[in-house]
Amino acid sequence: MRLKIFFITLSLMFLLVLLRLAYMQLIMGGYYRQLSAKNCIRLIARQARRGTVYDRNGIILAENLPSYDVVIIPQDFQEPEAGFVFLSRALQKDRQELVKHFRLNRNAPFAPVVVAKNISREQAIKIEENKNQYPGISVQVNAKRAYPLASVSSHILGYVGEIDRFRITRLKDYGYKLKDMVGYGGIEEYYDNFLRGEDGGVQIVVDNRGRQVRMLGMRSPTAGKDIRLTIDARIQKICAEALSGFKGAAIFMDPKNGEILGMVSSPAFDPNVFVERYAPDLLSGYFQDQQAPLLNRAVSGLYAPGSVFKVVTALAALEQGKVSAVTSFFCNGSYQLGNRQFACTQKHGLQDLRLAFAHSCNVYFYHLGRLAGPEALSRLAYELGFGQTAGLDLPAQAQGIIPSPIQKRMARKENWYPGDTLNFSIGQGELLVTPLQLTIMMATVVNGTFAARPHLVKEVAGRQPAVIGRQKRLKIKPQNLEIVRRDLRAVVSEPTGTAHILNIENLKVAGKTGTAQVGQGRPHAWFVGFFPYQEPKMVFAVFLENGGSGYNACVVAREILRRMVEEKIL
Amino acid sequence: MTFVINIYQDMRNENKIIYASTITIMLIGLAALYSATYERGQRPMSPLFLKQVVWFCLAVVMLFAAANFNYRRIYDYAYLIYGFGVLLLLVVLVLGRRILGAQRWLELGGLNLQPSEPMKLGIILVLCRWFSVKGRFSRNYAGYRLNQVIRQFLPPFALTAIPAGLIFMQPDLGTAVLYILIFFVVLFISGAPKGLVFTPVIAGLLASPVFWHFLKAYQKDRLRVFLNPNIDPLGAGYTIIQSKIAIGSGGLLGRGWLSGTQGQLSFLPESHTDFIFAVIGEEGGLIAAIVLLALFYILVYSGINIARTTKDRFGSLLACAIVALLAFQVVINLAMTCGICPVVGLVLPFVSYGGSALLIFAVLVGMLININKRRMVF
Repeated sequence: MRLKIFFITLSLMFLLVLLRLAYMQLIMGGYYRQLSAKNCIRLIARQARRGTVYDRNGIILAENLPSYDVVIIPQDFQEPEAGFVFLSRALQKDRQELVKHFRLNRNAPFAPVVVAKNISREQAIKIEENKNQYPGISVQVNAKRAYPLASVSSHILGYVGEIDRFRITRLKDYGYKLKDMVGYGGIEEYYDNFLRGEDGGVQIVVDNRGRQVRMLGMRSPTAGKDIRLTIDARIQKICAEALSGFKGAAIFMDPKNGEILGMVSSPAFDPNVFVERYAPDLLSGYFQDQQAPLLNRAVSGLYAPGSVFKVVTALAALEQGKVSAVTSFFCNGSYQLGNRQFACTQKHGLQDLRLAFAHSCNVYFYHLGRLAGPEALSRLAYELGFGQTAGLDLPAQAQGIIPSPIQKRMARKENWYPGDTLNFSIGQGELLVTPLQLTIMMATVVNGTFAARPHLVKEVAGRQPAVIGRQKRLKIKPQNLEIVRRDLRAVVSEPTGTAHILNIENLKVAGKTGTAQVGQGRPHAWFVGFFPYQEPKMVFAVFLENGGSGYNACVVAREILRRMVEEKIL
Repeated sequence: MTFVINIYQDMRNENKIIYASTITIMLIGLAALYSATYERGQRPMSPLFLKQVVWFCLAVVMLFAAANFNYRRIYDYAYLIYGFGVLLLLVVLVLGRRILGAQRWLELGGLNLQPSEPMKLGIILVLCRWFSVKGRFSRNYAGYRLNQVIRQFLPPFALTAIPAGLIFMQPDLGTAVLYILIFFVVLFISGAPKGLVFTPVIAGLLASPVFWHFLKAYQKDRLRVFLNPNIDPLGAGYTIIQSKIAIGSGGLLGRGWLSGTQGQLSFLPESHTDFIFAVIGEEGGLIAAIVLLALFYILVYSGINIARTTKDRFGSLLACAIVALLAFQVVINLAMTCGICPVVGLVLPFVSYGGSALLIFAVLVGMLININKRRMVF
């Protein structure tokens, strides 16, 4: 009897174990199979080649250079002591530093750890020669982003770096991962999606200590798309050299299709410093510099346009039908408004539109501005592209401000006075624009039929991006634009014109100078023009922040144009 | 005379099944061990495996040897064997080699001997001898309970508790508990009054919280992770989690011999000793597990049958004790590999790596056959 109880107990125990096994292997089998795969299957990413950036003539602006990096594969690295001694001797680096770097960056036995980046060829050869003596150490050729033009192309291209926290939260859903290289600023950021390509990967089987046992499969990375810019590297270089030593910007643009041929902001930075991180002092210097080298003044800086805005005032008055091309006003050196005097630069005497442009007579444009009225001025300013982002393919473009009675009421809760209209009509007061916006204005005036749409990219992987073709028709009468275009030539051609210095043979430059008063420091110097004036091929703007009189901008512009002629670009 | 020969042949047929099952289990064990110690690109046979092959041959010899002498003669040597076992246990406590934090091995000329294994034999023999004495429980102690306990319970309990205590100090909780279990089984089967069997069991269960304080830190961890393996997935809970993954991922048919990732890629610790069943479960699937369980069950079933039909009281008890030892160890080992019982260091008989255990179990099963051959003699 007791034997029977004992036997039944044992049988029940066997049954219990059997049921448990059946539960684990049949019902939960899939779940455990999954866990088992997770245990031993790992993915190593293979980085995709980032697209190359060319200028319009095929000169390389951003490329990938081989970088010789010393890597250690932990699972093969058997003699760390001797290995690190050898490495520190070969690389002339502190051993402790190398060990520390190795420890910090090690994450799996099969994953190579980069301990030194971008070593010289000689060092690479030395290490490769001793490879067999120190298993686990090798030299890997990785891609390194390089910008051959360095600071000349800095603001247009931006730079690449490891993704930051802000961007990873925003871009996670688009397949960006930690440690990805992404663009910061410029084309690198704006077209990152095209440039970056798609990373591939290798699936491997690892054992309990994470050592690779065998490979399961791989997906090769897809290279990023190459981009051709509208930029001409030669123009870019000339502008950068002419502007060196100044704070300011220079822009060259084709008014017919909106292609940006050159765009320089000064002072600039060297994007290679951001990529290689070899000079931390230089890097932090960029961020602390009072001159703000990281700011792209051409599209992100906001300044008063000064007299350059008189082009808008003239157009507004002509459009309103208040004046014609021959309407004249007398300048006696100031404009009386109530009991206030609004001064002119000098006594110009009787001025028509042509002479008023040439001498930049404030009194004449006070009259036009009052005749047109502030609302008409703001409306036309908006039509010509002020107070809105220019639609250029660069990140961080500034919008600017167009003043108007309503705007003043809303922003400052103040009434609009006639004095505000006077300031507005000569581009002072609340008005803030970017150098690019002035260039667009001039391009629009010059091509006469549609608003210029600026862009930097000509082709992505050999194909033209669709957005570039879109154009907005203008509502301004062509004959009025014709009048302004013709009269702007006088600024250069008249011996008394403010930009007579730019009267270079055969170029037939036209344009408008500007000397914008600022609260503190010297005024901003502007010249925004085009050439040849009958059938303009290029529109350009030269801007010097706190550069003094507009004449100074003309000097820089002359230097640029002279060099362009010399190098047979024109 | 013909009558005797007929019976003899009958017995031989039944014994054949026992022989066959035992040897099959051992062969399955060798296959699993080969897989557990196999390393891609290394020598096809690991030294560990070759060693176990030698042990296997010895075990087969011992199996036949233990079946072919008169087991009654061992009755006389019971106390001697027992005493020798206790002596070994004392020696191992003083001189033993530390393996995995426990002093369980004695090194004898290059061979590691685990004295807790021969002690199993000693304890079984002594207990069965003590309980097989006629009239052990015939006297009625009504009104003298204490006297009864002193006469009928304490002596065999002390015989069990001394080696169990020594083993517990090694420390090896699993084997110590196993000894105590065997004691109660023999006590129960031998016809002791119910009160004498169940009162200590219940008292022991009630007092179990007290024993908690005598456990080593790692033993407490094992019990804690048994309740929830995820409290320490990389430490104490690691083995059990990996073992469950291995068994579960085997599914119905298994992943194929030498193809289980858990075992082959060393995610499974102790895969050649305590957790060898996980390798079988992973690579052979439920099918292999059922085959193995069935073979063990055949041994249990035949053992119980032998105990039932053997006239000799000593032989019958001995058969019972052998079955209990084998069944408990199998069930506890399987239960701990699939996570329904805490991890205590009990190996899977005939399958796990280890010479001492293999030889002793071969001897025990041999004795089972031995008893069967002579069940009608008395």
